[in-house]
Amino acid sequence: MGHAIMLQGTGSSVGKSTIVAALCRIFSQEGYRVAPFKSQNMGTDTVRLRQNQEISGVQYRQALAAQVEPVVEMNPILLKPVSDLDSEVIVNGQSVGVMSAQEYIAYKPRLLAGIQDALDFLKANHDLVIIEGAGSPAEVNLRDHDIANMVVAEMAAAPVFLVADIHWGGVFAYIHGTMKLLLPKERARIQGLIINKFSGDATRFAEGSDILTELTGVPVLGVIPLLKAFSFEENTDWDRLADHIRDQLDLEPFSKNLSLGGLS
Amino acid sequence: MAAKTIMIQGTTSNAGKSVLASALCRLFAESGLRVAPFKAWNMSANSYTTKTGLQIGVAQGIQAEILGLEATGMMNPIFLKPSGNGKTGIYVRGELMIEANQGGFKDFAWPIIQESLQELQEMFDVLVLEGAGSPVELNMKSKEVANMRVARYANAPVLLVADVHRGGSLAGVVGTIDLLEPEEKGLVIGSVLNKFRGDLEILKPGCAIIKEYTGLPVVGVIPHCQSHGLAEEDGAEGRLGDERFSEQDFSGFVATVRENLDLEYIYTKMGLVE
Repeated sequence: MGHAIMLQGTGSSVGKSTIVAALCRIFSQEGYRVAPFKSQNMGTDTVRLRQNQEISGVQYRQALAAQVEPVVEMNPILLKPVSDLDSEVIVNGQSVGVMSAQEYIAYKPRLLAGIQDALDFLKANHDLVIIEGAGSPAEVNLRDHDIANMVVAEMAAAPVFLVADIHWGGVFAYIHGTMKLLLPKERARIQGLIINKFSGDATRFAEGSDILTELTGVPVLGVIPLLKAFSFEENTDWDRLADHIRDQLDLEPFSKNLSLGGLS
Repeated sequence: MAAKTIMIQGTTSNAGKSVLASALCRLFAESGLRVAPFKAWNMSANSYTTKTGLQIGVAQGIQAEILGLEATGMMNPIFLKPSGNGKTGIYVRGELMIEANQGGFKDFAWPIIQESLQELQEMFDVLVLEGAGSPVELNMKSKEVANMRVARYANAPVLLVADVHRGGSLAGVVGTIDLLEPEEKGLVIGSVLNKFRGDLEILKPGCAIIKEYTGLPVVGVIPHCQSHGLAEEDGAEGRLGDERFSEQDFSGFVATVRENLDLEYIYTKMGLVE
């Protein structure tokens, strides 16, 4: 049975997907069998697998980065917006219809068992499942309906690493606020912070990292420079991405439960 | 008599401070008040050239135009514009003073900011002040001259704007307010959740959570607007679009703001109404 780790973000577009892809490649290079996973993805960037199952293009490409075959279990739920209020809901690769936000909230509880099954399947067939959260785990008005963040971390018994985007500023506020809004048991899952999209000399943020650790009690595992002109596509140079992230990130906390003995 | 003030700060850059400030400028002007925009410190690859050839922030320039004023250097006393090869042009009240890297500069920026603010306060009824970035960049806070230092100096009530579209806005608002010094927090009158798409009923419990954690109300939830009629300060590829202002789109945005923002609360906190 494989292990799982999870990346969550202080917001959307903080770079979770890219860092998950990089970790997929890094651990694949180390000889582990790695699978990406995101319980629920929202977007119109999708790919059809051989059995005509539709999954998010992001998990598809993360699987390529992990050098494993993409399977529908990597993204069991896909929401394709058709308007500001309605989305087509795709479960295990097949459409189950168009729903409003309210209708989908009512439908969600039925999806939990399938998420657990998909996770179990991936864990049974891989050494490491790298899970990506959705949006922020601190949208606590939506906590009762969560099927993408802390609920999944709990299902997978995964430690959580929190990614924040420093490019637009406000990382202290968003990290501190996220920790403050989480329940104590959720907060306890957060094992590290990752500061992403830093412009300039990352060593200049050393004091910032210390302040964040003091505020949250959680170490900053890396300050990742903004990767200019990076496009997350099928023909992406995943090795280059892996190198970029490996140099900036303390990988020890991600691999500490892996049976092959961690990274050299 | 010194002008009444309101300050718009953000949980991040690009949260929509400038457009909200622009809408407030228009709304105050419609009430018959003499209004001016002010941003102490601004850094951008794009600038607005005034009639007398001064360089200031684009938003302050356009806001002056909206108000039918001639833009002046006082409205953005410190403007920084990257000039290539790692250097930055430092404009003081619109005039290029030096090209340098930024180190040590903020010490002498503060008196210039104070003076400009004072002058504007004597000339107008209301000043709409705009902050820069987040007010709680704790690793740089001792040097900041753009956010709470200005609010404290002007004793300005502060509205904190967060971009809901990007996610994590509850955390952004709660975290920002919680990291402020008590005196600074005392100036914040509430938050504005900007660029909201979707079902407001789902967001309402979130507003209650913000109130519960901060003791401060969400003063408005502004729906995402396809166009607010104002050029993005740093649009695609850092370049300013050709069309800087569309009256039709802006009027529509102002109407949206009027409809969704508790203006009476803001006017009261500013001391404009009893």
